Amino acid sequence: MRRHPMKRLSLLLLACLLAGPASAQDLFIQGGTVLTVTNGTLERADILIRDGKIARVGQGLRAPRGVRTIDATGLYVMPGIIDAHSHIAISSVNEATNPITAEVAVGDVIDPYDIAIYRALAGGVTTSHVMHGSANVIGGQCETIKHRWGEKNPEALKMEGAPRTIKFALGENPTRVHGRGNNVPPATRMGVEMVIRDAFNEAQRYMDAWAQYEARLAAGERVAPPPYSERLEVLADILRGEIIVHCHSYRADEILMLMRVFEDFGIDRLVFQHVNEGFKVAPELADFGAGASVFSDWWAYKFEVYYSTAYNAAILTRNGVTTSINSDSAELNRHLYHEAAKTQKYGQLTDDEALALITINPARQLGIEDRVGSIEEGKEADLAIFNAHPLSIYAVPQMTIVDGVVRFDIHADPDDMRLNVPAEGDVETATLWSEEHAHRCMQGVDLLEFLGTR
Amino acid sequence: MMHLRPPARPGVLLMLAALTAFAIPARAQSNDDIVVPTVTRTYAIENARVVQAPGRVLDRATIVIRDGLITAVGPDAAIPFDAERIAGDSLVVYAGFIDALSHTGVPRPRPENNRERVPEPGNPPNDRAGVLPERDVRTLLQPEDKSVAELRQAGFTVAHVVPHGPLLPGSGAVILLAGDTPPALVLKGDASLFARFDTNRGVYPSTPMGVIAKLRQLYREAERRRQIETMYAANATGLERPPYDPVHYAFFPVIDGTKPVVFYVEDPLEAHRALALSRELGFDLVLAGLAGSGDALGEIQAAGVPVFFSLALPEAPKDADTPADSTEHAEPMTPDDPFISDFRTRSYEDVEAEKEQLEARQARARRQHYELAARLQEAGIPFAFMTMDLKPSDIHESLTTMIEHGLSEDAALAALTTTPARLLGLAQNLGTIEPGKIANLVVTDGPYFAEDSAIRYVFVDGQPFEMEQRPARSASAAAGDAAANPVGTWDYAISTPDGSYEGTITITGTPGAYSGTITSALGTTVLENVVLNGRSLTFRFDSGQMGLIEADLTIEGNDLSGTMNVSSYGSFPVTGTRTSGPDR
Repeated sequence: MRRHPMKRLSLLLLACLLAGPASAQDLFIQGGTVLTVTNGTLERADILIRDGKIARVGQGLRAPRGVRTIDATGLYVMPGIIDAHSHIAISSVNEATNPITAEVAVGDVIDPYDIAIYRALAGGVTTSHVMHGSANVIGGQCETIKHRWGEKNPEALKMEGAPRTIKFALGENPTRVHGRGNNVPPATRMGVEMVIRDAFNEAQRYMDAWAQYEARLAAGERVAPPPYSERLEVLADILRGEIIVHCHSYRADEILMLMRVFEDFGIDRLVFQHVNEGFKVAPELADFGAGASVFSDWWAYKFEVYYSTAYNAAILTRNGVTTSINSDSAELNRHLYHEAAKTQKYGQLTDDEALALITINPARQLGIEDRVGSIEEGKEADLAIFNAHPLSIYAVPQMTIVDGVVRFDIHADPDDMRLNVPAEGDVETATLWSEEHAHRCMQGVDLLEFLGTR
Repeated sequence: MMHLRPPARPGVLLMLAALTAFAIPARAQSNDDIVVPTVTRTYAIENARVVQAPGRVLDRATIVIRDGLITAVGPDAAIPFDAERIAGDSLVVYAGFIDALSHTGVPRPRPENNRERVPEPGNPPNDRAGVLPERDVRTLLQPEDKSVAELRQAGFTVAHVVPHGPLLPGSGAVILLAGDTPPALVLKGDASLFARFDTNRGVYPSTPMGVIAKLRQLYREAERRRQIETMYAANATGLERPPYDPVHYAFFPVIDGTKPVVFYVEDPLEAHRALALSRELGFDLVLAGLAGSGDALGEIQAAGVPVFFSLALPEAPKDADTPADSTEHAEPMTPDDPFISDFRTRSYEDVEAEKEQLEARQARARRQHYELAARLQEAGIPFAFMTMDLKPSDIHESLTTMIEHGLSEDAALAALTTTPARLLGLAQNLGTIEPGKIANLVVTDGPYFAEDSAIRYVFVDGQPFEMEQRPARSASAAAGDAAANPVGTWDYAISTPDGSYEGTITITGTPGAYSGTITSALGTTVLENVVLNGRSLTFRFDSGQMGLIEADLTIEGNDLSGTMNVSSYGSFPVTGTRTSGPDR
């Protein structure tokens, strides 16, 4: 490859001229079926992306010079999917040692190397609400991330400016971990309510103490500041309405309980997660203005989740509850479009209603609906391109774009997409199958052999 | 390597120890020999090649040492009448090496089994949580601990040492690697506040995010108490007396900017987290360890944070046939193109091909780790070498590897001498061979970084130690040839991302027919395939829930180290100590 230096320089110049003023976050997506979700479907439409934002949507647009064009003829373009409940891309999920851990934040332990980010992109997911686990009544703060796979600084994944959120949990998880596990409250559902009320009462006293201090200071007094608490600061911010509460819940009674508690404390930003019995209290949820983020058809994995229905999302939607379908899983998040499609079998939702469950509705629940969740001019260019209508069982994601950057392309998809492998120790193959694995997977599963199911 | 010598009669040993106890307390455990009885504290090393500082060399000079200080350096330095003369012809003298971070002289506490359950895991006592910032490593020093002599034999004269433990183990001190009593070792106390992301499992904080939240809470509450203290000191009237509280008070010098936080990080994620905390709370930070953290280099550089870089390097697996340099065809990653098409396999069904690709990637990751010191040098990030994670006998090989991978010898020497001296605030006293500085010297029989040179003398605080006249590295190789005796009961600790697991291993039998058991929190299990090969001990056992676990350990006297490979979870480092057996 010995080239004349001048020749190389001129080639470089030519490349620069061709590129024009285009930035790395410019794209032109031509001729696809555009599912805007909020403004219907546009046939053979074009999308112009400039600086990572959707500049124009419409038919017969022209690509500015130098902007990369993606031919979407025969393809379907939808807003990037938003997963309202996820635990990918973090180093730790549960600080399960205390019933209240409002001060911890998964945003402090983002792991940009988690291959689950890339796999989510391969399912058209561009944004995940990464949550603390459900071991604690008041768990840690969550983080809304964008799937900017390839970035290695954890900060680069955070969706800057997204509202703060926090995880609460009701029912069996916190009572099992703390009540039965450690013999500290709560041991019952009643105890869960007590823990929450106690926490908010303490936070109010904390706010009072600091308000008094500030007032005396302002009056010119010499006064020592009251004790500082990271935990109570966060609880106080919930009371001030600065944090959206996302609460792990199953049963209708405890869902009503939390809404009553929040009414007492004047908190109104509330989304229930899982909420399998939400269909029983859908009008109450709508009255409160609480969101509901559900599974399509997943239940009976523990006692409190036996009473459930695949019509949950449809019933909630038609009762005016802002509803989303989430994954809570690094596997399920790769086919959320199928999960959304199930609401057409169970509840006959329209295409836009079904797609809203995984786009604009989770965006509303996370307070980012003015930035993502639909294909509108001015919004961030987070898009997923499919080879068929995404609610079709034949749909396969082709390309996923985050902020105008192609982060997944099925035609540029080497087998091993890990960003790093450890320098020492064993490395897992990306293909999680071998004779050896087949054997290991069955380790300890003697019952199946006993039953003769091999 | 006392334990490898033929058994000596205890009486002879005692006599020897008594004779030399005051001059060199470490004699019973080391190869050190004093040059002459300590009748004079004046020495002259004549006609040696003197590397005063990296890049500053006197080809033929004399160094005069008196009362623990260097008093003259130069071709014409006058030799006092009372000096013990050491012929330096063909010898090279360097400033004594400084270890930027380790536990040298601080014995590892015995693992506590059967500790009482904490009633409230969310609110544990500070010692159970690992929140011990008020603990001072000076109270834990043991000059006779063999780690002191071992590190000295590798050419080190000074070490910045910190207590063992997770989270906030305590404050560090800079010590001399020779001295009769703990106070005699201390050069500088309160040198650092040591922190790490490790935790004790099962109590708050138990996760990295819990650690970060806990550190924020401690720091901000400490800032409040600092404020109240200041108010109270200025005028106490009308203010409630602030109660003394050692934990928060330990942060005061950090808040005042007189003491840095030395944060041990093991990967780029931990590096980012420590940097973010330092940015947010505003404390002076030193990043320590930094294994494989090349991805965070840009941020470290931008933050202007110095680094204590671990000399422990990743090793190629024993069965590897892929040398680290065989992957030169793979282009370095860039943000635009983080994926390497060369690592693509033809079919997902070709698991063997995929494994080969992964081994190639792993070899590349190793090479990048070897190159990290050179990249620190290139980026202008001040860095000093630390020995916490490796055996002193492996230090020279690590340095050689880094030099082979682009680090200049002068930069390597600076990271052993001038830079640690400066970063530890002791540049006036240490790091170069200049009059007025503490007489810490390493004398070698050739250029230190050359393959076949050996250390002849180490001077600590003006006190000479003569090394056995054979290359240090062949000494360790010779020891390697002799088979170790694994028999006995060992306390072990496995460190995993979830925390440390502890228990005991018992080995019985005779060469060729060893057997044993391993005890953990889950119970006792019989070991299979217990094989000793030289100093290498391997065995495996079925742990039940975690599947088959394979151990690959190296025995060094009464210490063992190595890895336990848990099927489908990965490989975790193990350390251990013999608590009963042939030698104890």
